[in-house]
Amino acid sequence: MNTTSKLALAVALLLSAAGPLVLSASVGREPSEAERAAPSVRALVLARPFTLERPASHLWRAEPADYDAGWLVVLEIDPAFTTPRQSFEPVLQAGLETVERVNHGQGSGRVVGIVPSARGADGRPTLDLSRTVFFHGPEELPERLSEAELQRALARAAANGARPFAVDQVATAIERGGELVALPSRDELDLIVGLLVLEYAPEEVDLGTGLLAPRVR
Amino acid sequence: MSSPCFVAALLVALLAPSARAQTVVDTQPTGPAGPVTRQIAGLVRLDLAGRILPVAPSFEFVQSHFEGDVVALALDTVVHPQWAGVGATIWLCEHRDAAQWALDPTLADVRGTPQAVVFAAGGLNANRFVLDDGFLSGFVPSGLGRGLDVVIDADASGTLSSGDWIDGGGDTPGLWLLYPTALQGPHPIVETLYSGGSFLGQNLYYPANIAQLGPLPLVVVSHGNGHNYQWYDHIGFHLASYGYVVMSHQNNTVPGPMAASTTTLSNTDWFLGNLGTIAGGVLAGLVDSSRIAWIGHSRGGEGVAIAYDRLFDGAYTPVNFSRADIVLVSSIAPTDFTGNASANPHDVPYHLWTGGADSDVNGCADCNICQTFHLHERATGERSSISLHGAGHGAFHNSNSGGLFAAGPCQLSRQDVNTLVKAHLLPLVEWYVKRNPAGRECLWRQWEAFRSPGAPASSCVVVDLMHRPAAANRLVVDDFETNASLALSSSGGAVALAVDAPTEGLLDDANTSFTHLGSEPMNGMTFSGSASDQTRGLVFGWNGADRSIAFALVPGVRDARGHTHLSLRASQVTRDPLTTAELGDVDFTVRLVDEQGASASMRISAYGGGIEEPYQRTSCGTGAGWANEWETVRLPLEGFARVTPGLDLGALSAIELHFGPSHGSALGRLGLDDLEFTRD
Repeated sequence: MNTTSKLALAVALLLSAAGPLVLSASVGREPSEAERAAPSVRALVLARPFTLERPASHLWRAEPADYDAGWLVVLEIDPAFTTPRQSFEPVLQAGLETVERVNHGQGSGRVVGIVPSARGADGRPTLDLSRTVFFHGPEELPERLSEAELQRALARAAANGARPFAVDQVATAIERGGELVALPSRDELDLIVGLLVLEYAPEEVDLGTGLLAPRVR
Repeated sequence: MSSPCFVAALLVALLAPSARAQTVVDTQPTGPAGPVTRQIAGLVRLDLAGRILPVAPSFEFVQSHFEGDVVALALDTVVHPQWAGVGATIWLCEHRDAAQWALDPTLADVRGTPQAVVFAAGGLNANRFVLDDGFLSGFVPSGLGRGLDVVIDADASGTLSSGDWIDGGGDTPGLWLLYPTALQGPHPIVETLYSGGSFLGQNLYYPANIAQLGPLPLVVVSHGNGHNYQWYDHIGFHLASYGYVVMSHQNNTVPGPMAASTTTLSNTDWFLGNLGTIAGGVLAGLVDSSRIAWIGHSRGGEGVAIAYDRLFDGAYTPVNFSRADIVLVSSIAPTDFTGNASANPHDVPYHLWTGGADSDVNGCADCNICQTFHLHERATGERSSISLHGAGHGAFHNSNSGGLFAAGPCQLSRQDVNTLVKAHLLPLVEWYVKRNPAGRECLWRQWEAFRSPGAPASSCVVVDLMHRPAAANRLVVDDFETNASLALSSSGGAVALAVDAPTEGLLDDANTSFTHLGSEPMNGMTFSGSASDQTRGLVFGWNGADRSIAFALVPGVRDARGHTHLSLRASQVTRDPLTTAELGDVDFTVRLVDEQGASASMRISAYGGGIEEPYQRTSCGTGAGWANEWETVRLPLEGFARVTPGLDLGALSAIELHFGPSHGSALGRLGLDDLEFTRD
């Protein structure tokens, strides 16, 4: 499929499907040194809570688990961590959980991710982003990482000075992300993810349009 | 020709030992035709078509010719003396099977007129005739290969009749003329993009006239990490134009190749289960789910092997297909994270693509997960491999938004690699998926001598091919897997080694670089990735003096009749001074000896090419030269028998390999494996 038709498809889908979404064109100010949570994950640009009526499987760890809530995030990443490789890559973690890294961020430096979480009694994800460290762990395949290895990686990151994002940065990101979105399934989540990729990582247009491909029902 | 003379000569030919060049392979009995004539009686069937060689054995009987190649006929009047001094008319006709010829025996030459020749005494060299100098088209309305039959019309009747000699005219034609496989095929294509849900995004390509073509095989493409399922238009459009349904899918590669294997399986299953709704249902009933090929790139290339392994182990049970429906697994620059236990093609026909300039799955000795050949070596069924000097990792997809991921000299552009992929992929899937033999020889004939018009032909395009038939079609003399002693072949025969520094062992680089140390015989070998990977072979050298290796044949491997080729695979040893001293193809001589002491010798270069030099890429230690690239050399047994007409292929006693200035390259260091007789 040529680039023109892909872009046309993307625009059409944006116009038709983006109604309920509030997407900011601005990524806000550059975080200060003090706000940098870890050297490789530079900023939390956007965060939006979601819930799923039908749980999805998180395959990014050795013991896959179902989730029915979580956060959609857009992270600003050190460009050194954005080149896709077939061999081992540093694994992006949010606390004790692996982040489902939707795109690589090559060119844009921005990675769209899905962070699974439990759902609280209030119907929102229980994961508190203001207390969560985002960092790159050792080079591995996410699907081979056990709970213990994730714990060790977190402990090492903390020992190396990794800290959660500043509270005001998290608040700004959540404000930018918008209200909790309640979705029937992971499939609908992919549509939002596709739009985020097109907006925040436009260099990966094929990925965005691929996620937004018309559904066959 | 008088009939009694002809019959007598025919009887001589038939009753003679089978170790004969250009033997008659079949004659249909003469006599009164029955009430229902289903085939023409009294035809003499043998190989006639092929190509002229500039050196001995002067002619190669081959099945396939690309459009534009010179197609020739040869008749050996030493073997068939009844033809010496006899004039005849040669017809080149569209292929018909036996029943069709019986129904309509009229000869009609595709060139417009038949060709009058007079056969001379003096054997084959005196009786080579050009049938087509590249004028004829290989185009066919569907599929690959225009079948042609070659007829020597003995009685000049203008019809195929008793006493005529024919190459083809049965289940297979005398020759295949191939339309350039690098060029798009005859069918218009429909492309559509859709999704069945999360990780079910699919890009579909199919012939617009699929309703007229009937159920078509399915080719599934599983992309690599950081790649995208919309980046395989070159494969989708190309194969769809030749009558395939191609579905490239969203692949979950980032968690790892196990997750990728799941998406290969789930996308295949979902696609087959939703044909009634995909693309408005136009494919319903028109996809042949019993002929599925999986092509994976990089992590996806490992993923497709894992997917087959999961079917093999019964660890995954699809709804809409089964393991038996997977007829080909092809990996482009695959990783090997999971090792022998999972990334294992087992018995499925397997194919591998390797780029010499790949800077991602880079093949270096220090990266065990980056060595592509592991998966190929694990495949126990029919298997093939193509290595392309100068091809980067990203050159195998078609998106300019993904990098080339290439390092090394003489790099090939993405367009060039895409074209090479198309040129090779079509005959590959035609054989493995459709079992169409028209382009099968593309899998093993030397690239220098046989390649598609339209494929890039610069000096930077260097191609190495490996091919090994299924076990039933191999008579193994030495695969080095058993009998670890240098003096004993795996088949139990004595091996006399008169070469420098021979070492038999695991074909695996012992350290983490390709630096030549002099103390590491298996330098540059990358066949083994797990403790259970046990591909073994022999390395040895020679330096300015004539040297040899002689494999004595035990009774079980002495009768090569029923096989068509002597086959071996070899590689130059990277960065070795004996390799770098003369960068170029290595040539040597193969000699067959029979129990009576008769022998026949042939250079491996006789049919084109030799053992290629390593790709001159640096890093991975000091020096220049990348991982050892193996290639298969197949020498027709018929050629040996023609070099020495008395050679008894039914009672061979030894295979000798001769190296050195009298026999080929003056010096070199080689790896050697899989010495065997084969047939297709």
